[in-house]
Amino acid sequence: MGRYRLGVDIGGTFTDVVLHDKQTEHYSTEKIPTTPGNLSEGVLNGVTKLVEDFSDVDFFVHGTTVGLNAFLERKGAKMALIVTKGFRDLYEIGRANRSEIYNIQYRQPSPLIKRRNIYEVEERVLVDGSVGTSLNIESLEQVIENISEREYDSVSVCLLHAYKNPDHEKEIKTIIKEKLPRMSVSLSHEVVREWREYERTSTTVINAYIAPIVENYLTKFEKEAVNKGLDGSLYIMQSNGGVMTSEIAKEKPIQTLMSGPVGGTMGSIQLGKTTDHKNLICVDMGGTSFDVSIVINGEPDVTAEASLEKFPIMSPMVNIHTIGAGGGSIAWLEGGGLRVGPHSAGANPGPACYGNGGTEATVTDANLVLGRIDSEGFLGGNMKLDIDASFKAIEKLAIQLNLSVIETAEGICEIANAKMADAIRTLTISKGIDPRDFALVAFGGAGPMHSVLIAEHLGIDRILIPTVAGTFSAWGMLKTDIRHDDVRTFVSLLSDCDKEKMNALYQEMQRGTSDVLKQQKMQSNQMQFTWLADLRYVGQEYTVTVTCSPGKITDQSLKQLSQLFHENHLKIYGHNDPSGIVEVVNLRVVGYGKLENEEKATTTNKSQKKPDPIRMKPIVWYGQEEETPVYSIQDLSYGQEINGPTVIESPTSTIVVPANYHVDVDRVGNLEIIRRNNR
Amino acid sequence: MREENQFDFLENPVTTEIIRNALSSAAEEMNESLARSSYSPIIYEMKDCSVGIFNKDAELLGQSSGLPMFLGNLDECIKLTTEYIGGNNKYQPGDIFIMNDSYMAGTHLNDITVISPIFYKNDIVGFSATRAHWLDLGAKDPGYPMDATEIYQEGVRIPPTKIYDAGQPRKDIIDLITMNSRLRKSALGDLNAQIAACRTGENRMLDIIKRHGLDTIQRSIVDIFKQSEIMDKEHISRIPDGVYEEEGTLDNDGVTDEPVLVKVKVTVEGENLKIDLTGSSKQRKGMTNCGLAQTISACRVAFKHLISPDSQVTGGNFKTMEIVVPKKTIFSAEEPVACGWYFSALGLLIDLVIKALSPVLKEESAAAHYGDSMVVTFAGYDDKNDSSFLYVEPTAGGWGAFAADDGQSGLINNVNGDFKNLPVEVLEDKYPLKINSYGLRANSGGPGRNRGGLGIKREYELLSKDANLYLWFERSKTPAWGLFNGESGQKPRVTVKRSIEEETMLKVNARPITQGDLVVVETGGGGGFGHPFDRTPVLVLEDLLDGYIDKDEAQNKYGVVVEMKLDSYEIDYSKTEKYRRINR
Repeated sequence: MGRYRLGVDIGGTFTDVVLHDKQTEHYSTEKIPTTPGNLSEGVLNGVTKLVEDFSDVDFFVHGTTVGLNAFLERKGAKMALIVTKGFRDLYEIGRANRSEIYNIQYRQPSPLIKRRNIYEVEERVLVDGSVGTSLNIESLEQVIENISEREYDSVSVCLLHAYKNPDHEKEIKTIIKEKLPRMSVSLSHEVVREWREYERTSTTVINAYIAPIVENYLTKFEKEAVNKGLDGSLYIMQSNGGVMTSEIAKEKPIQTLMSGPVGGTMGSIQLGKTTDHKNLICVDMGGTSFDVSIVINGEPDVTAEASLEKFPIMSPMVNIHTIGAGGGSIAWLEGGGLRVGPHSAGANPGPACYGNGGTEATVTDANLVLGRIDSEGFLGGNMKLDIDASFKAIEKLAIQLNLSVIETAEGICEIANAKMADAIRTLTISKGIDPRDFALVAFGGAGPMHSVLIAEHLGIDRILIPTVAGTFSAWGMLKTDIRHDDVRTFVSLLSDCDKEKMNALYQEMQRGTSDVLKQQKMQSNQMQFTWLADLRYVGQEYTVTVTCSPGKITDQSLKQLSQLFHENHLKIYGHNDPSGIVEVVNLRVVGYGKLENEEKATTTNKSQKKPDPIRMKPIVWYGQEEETPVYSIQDLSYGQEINGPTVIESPTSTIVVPANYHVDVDRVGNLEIIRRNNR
Repeated sequence: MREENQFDFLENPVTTEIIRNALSSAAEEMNESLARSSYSPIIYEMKDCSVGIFNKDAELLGQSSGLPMFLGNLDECIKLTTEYIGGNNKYQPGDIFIMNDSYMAGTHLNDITVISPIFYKNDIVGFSATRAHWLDLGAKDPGYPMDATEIYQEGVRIPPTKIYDAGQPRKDIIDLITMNSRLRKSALGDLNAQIAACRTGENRMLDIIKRHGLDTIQRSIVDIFKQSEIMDKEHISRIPDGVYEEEGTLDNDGVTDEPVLVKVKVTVEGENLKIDLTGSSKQRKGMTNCGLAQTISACRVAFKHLISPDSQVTGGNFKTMEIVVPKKTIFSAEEPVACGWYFSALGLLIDLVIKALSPVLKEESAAAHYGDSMVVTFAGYDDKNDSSFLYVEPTAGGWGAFAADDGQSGLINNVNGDFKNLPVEVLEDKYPLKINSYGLRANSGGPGRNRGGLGIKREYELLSKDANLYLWFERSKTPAWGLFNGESGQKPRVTVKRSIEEETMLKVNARPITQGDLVVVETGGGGGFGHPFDRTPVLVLEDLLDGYIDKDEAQNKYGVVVEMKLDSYEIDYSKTEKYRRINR
């Protein structure tokens, strides 16, 4: 067994590395600039700063944005799409909705496949799965001839009702492979066996679009990692909160799309376990983003369907809500009033203090002027900040507002904090939960700076800051299990559904899922399966997913499903109808391969020593400048307590704690910030 | 000593901004609460609803609406209710009022408004209000009819009516209202969801008051309104003074065949803007009438479409905007006319205001979109499931091109907001219908330097023994116009086919159809922007390669001559240049 477990989160600007030494239970972290031109080399060189010989690494997981970037930059595969005759435009039209209701110049995003590359074949499967029109081989051969002339990288096939009867899709693949043996063909029912043709097509197309890029990248990455001695598997973080081996990732690249931010949510769950909090609001705030996710009863909030730039993706994903712009949010004037955001200075030019030509005041500039960020110590001293530039940018607003620069700076932060709190509250209301029952977990470069002030607005009394706040996503990736999802659409009234059929579908999915886990070297005793069903009242559009005990579907289990559905409906929507008729829509199986990832405490001895501040510094609190002690997180140990106001610096972020709060250090060095005189 | 603030604001701008955001967010929370607990998909899916928080003078503090049309039409309902009961001092804590009368609230009877006063320390400090579309309120036909000629056929009329008296529900009144619905359970569920949303608004408002203090809030509100007013004035001042006029027609009112005229005269003078609808059609026998309150909303929507679509609307907005509507027109309906299709004329009104101002707001404007909801409805008996069925679908179409880009193809119309169509696979499972094809309608987009979006074509086949077909297709007499020498999009068309017989129509009420009949609906395209001969030839070629236009359209409309070379089209630049020069 190797000594280390290694987690790497490749972000747009920085790559975060966390190395877990199982012998000492010590975590080392590293933040290195991402090298977009040659990702794998840059990453591996950065990693070797922490560990030279990969033969000591027995678990290597990484979150990757290569698939996401290929999608965002529209640099994916050149594709053809084959659809049922009469439905060439279903992909372009989508659901025909207009999400910006006051915009008369609204445009949908450009489809990933142009209309000229979409081909119709004569065939039609009916709603019950029977064949209305058989596959016309001649029309298909004509299409294949056209396809062969146009040098596509891949062909996607999405036929109507293929979730019910996939025979025509399979037949098309067989015939294409006969004529064009090297063509990569992806079938909609294999990517996601769920109804709704546009969503299934969009999912299939995105999967095929990023596939060659993800595959090339992973193949190269693996080769270089093996050269450095890696003999175990390379794991990839998935959007659903689990990991998969790189082999599986090449088949299902769509699961890598949100792999970065999800690490933070999974890390929060682990952090919640060690601190005994099961309900968490997780806040990831970076320079240009502000992402919120929610953990209820120790489980991540996973949605069966997400969307990316308005393209639907039918694939389970941890719900990450982007609700603001983070430290880059710009302060500006409108109608004589002060506004903060939603526009952001982004990474380039970034805040005025970055010195890259930004002249508008941002939240980061305000924090700098208030003394909450150190101009020398930003990102562990990797970046020097220009406080004069911040001052000038804020002064421009201050003059027009008739306020002092300090008042304006604090106002910008206050408005930003209140806005973020408002957005979080709206989110919790839509989920039917009360934020006051939750603890706030804050991470990312800027999260810990704002978290206590945001929590105060929300009436949250406990804030958790991980010891590795700035590289927390990479840490969280070390705390996950292998996961694989499958789905079948099975529409039937719950009361008279065909139990045999339902059983057969669950068994089929469980066998398939088990095979995928075996491919990832999981033994039966490491596997766990969850059976789920999407249910609704007849007439409803949305569904509620409930757990079904695995094994065999009996009258008893149907009754249990129905009961759970009524209960969950009440929880989520505030009402239910126990006499209502319940309908099954989809059946799902989730397979887990359990990995060794429990958190072990490094010490049980409480430190009796009072911590020493590294320096005293003037910082503005509620309009008053005050000499404030600044601590380094590295000097803090288990059992120590600090009272606010204070600032705690870590190599990757800054934790701001006003008066009225105190800080506890737990066994593994995480901070728990608690409001004094709890309300 | 501080200098006087140039705008004479009363409160610290930071506090004001925090309060402004909090009020707006409180309205968002009301909306989330309503969507979360409502029973009807038309509310939680289609977002046919709107919510708001108001001060004690019924001035808007924060609002959130699902449909653009519902912008700011709740304040009027609160004022009418207050007037109806005899003043603010008649409200008690815990009271809740309901109303829907079209002539008061403006829209059709299915839209139910619920109003709740907010009290702080025994004083009334504001209101929370919600409006939502109920599926059925006892009209002569399920849902709402297509051929009503009087409001009494459209459902129950409710004046401002107290349904909670100091916190106690008035069961008799609530029963009276909900027992008149064919879907009583859903009506009760939606009513409770609306009440819950009002409570959410009340609680958030009280939280905000407790946090900041009532005096501070009141000063900040004055400042917030002032900011809105300053912004409106700035925006209007930028529009050159002048009188801008346009007109267009709806095809008919669904009962008589005479076109329905809509006339718009916009006068800009300094900081003031007036929209005068004088000359628009008298109120009609058919259902294309609308109450005044909703007409005012629509004018505000048009203004917002053109100017500052992103900024939050408050009680300080629209102070320098005047709306003139003579009595008893389609825009100021009075008893007893029907108002079920109140939105058809409003969709045209909004497009016309944009057209009128387009000469002076070229960058902000857009050519007309395909125009109306284009509703197709099938009602009948589903033999397979042994139950009756009702399928109602608004159909997408083409949107107008604008200075920066082509118009969007296949997009839902302006009054329907974020409405999503039903997937074919789901539709075929739920209803005895089969979709034989669903696609874009080539050549339907109005030619222009930027091309109008394409309409769609959809073929339905009836699978059950028989059913009734209802259609409401519009804007064939005033199709989506182009701007700045752009041309109109194609008109809509519906064809009903039985074996070799074909019949075209646009509006129809309960037309019997039988198994195997085909209904082919085609919606219009959007208008073009700029002269089509100014369109870059490569873009015309791209459109041709994608089949959005054909070869004839490329040449005849865009003046681009192409030739087939090696299986693909190529532009003949010299012939193109010549064609464009001669035919311009």
